[in-house]
Amino acid sequence: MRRIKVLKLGWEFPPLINGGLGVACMGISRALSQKVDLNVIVPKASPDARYDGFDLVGVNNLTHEQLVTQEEEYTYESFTVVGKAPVNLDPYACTEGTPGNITFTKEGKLLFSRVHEADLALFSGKEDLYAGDLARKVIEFSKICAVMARKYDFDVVHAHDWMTYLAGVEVKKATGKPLVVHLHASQFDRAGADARGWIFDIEKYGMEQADAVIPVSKYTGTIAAGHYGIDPAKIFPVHNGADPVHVFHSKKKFPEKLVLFLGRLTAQKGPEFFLQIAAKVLEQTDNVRFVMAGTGEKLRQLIETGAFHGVGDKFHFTGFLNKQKVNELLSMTDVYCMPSVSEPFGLSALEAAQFNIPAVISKQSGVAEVMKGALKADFWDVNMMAKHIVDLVTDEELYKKVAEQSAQDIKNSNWETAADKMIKVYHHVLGW
Amino acid sequence: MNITLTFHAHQPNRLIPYDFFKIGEHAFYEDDHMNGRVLSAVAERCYLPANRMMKQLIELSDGKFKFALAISGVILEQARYHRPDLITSFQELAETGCVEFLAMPYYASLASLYSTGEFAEQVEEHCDLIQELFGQRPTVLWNTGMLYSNAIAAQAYDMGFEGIMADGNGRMMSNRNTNDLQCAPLIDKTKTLIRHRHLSNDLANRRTDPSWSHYPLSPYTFADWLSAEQGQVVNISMDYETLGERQADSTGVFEFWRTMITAALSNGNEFYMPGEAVRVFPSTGTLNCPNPVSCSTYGTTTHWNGNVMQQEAIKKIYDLERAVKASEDRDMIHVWRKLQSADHFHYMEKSNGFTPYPSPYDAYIYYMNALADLQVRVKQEAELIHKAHRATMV
Repeated sequence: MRRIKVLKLGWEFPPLINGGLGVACMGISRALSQKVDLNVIVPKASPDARYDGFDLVGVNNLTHEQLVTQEEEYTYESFTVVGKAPVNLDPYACTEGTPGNITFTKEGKLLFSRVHEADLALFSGKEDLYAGDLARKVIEFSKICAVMARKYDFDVVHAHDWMTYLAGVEVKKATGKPLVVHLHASQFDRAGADARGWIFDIEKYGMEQADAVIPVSKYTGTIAAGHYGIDPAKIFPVHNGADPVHVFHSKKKFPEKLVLFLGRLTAQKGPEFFLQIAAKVLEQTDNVRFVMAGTGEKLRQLIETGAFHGVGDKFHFTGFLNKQKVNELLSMTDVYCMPSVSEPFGLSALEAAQFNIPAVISKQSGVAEVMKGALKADFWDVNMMAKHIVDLVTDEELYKKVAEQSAQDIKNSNWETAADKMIKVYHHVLGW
Repeated sequence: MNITLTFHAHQPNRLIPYDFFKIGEHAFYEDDHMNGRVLSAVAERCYLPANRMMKQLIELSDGKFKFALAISGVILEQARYHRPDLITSFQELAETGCVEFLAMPYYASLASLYSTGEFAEQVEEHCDLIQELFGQRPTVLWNTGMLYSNAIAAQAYDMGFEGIMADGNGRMMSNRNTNDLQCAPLIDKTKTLIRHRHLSNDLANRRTDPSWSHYPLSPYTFADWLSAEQGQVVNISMDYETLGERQADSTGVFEFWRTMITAALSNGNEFYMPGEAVRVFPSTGTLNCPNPVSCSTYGTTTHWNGNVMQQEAIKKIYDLERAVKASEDRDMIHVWRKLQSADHFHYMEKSNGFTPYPSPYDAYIYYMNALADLQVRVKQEAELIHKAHRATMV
């Protein structure tokens, strides 16, 4: 059997953009490139970045001429289904903006301009990829990808998260190649069960048009099936891997055990629950400190709630931390706590496990499927969460057992295993 | 009319951005550099020129002009370290015999509300420092932010003070003449001097407010207002920083005061030091003040303890009292007491724009982290003592 040729469409990509999505795309690309021929298109890439085994093209580095020669008679089909295109979308806020500059013909068909130099400039500026007119960026990226795709010889197109779904569908329609969409996080996770709107529509449309959907966990797969109405027969969950991190241990400067929460302070991550859990734990033992690392719109409210609970001397807010500081924190942490309300995967729990830290995580997380040893509870069950933490910090036997099991669990959590499963999905959609 | 004039001088110990990673590692919480810089700047603009002017007025009036200073232990400590010339300048004032130094809680704390034992100790510490530096033992108490209540007055009595200053705010004063000395219920030997809130604020706030109906205020007009007051003694009091700091030299503040005091003297008014006033004038009645009042805008304590962050910080610092004192470690007790300064809690007030921190939340976070570090140290020391104790038993 010959090597499969894959065209991958991504949005974030290191080193320029280091969000969780970017890290995952990079991990997947590296592992896949060992076994398939891989080309990756992203909106922004560093011009000097070179990767072993695969080719990364940043739209920001393209010239207008390069595209015009590709652009022949071609109609952009997929956009007609998108009724309204709001601007200024923040992927982590559920408010959506006013319709952007898309014109309708008399027949009610959407009409798009050809790719202009101004459109290319959308991606070459310093502006954050999620800032400004995000809807226009998503649409222009799709158009450019559809044109670019004609340059490449590939068997399957693989799109990551909703920002690239339109592009994926467009490429599928332009080339007839099967489409695999990867679901790293959905609007359901970010904005709750009632999330509806442009992003939701694109997610649903992209998954419907796809030949296969790869959610990052079974949990996320149930959301795709149950919440977006996607045929479960084409959903193939593949767990994320974790890149090995440089693990070190440092001695705490205080005698208490340290329990860590790491993440954006938004409803999705359940920071209020962590605070309640901390208050419960401190009722039972004062030999614990809690750290909430990260920032977000709930920070100030959380600070006051902490003060109200009277835990301010044992519950510490660090604000945003860079990677180095995060690792410093992990190196002294005793228990990792992730009470997410809805967590598609939860890579941070795996990273904590690499530091040999036992985790207490919510059942509403993808990583719970991988970490068999972690102690689990429903995100709202603060009593159970608190009990788990108290058990871990008071029972050394249990602590050792959970830490050892975590070490076992992460052994299989690598990108190579994930890539093998993805290749099986490619085979499936190709009928090979 | 008889007049007392009291200035309050204080500078806070601002904290460094004390983050989580410093807990257990970094035992110094204060931004010494910033505190020294601010003290130095205010000394140049306010304390030193104001002291010079006051000394001149005393000399020119042959000692008829007298006034009082309530200087916190915190600022004196800062001055000893950063600007010893400031101490010398205050000492020169003390030598005139026309300046009385009032007692304060050394750390400008809220101890009078949260720990009476601690309050007494801090006042004692402050009196000792005043005696050491200025050669006089205070007889009148000026509590932090003029905090006053029946209970606080009773404690001042227990500590042997002849007088205590309170703010004449409407909540307490209903229909009473603030110019008459009074006593708290069941107290006879400690008289309460009540600040004339309105006239004091005319000088402290309204003098430079263009929307005020009397703006611009003539010093002669104000001297006439003082002369027209009725009663035993009118008590004017405000922050010393009003002179040259809150109201810059360019507003004519020094010239205003010089002229106003000279005019008040030539109108036939008499200046008293508060300690003299309480000895000369009898009490005219009982002043009932069950709830604490202060000289803040609303006369309450909410700017220190109105929100949950402030309440939590205050509770946690006073919770440490027993353990800190058990250590008998003077340095540690000193560090703990410095964290009691009311400024720390005021910086956590959401509407307080006068703050060195990015927000009241940061003020709270830095404070609680520093407090956590202190807790760790107190605990470690307690364990050491415990071990040593066991060793001697064996």
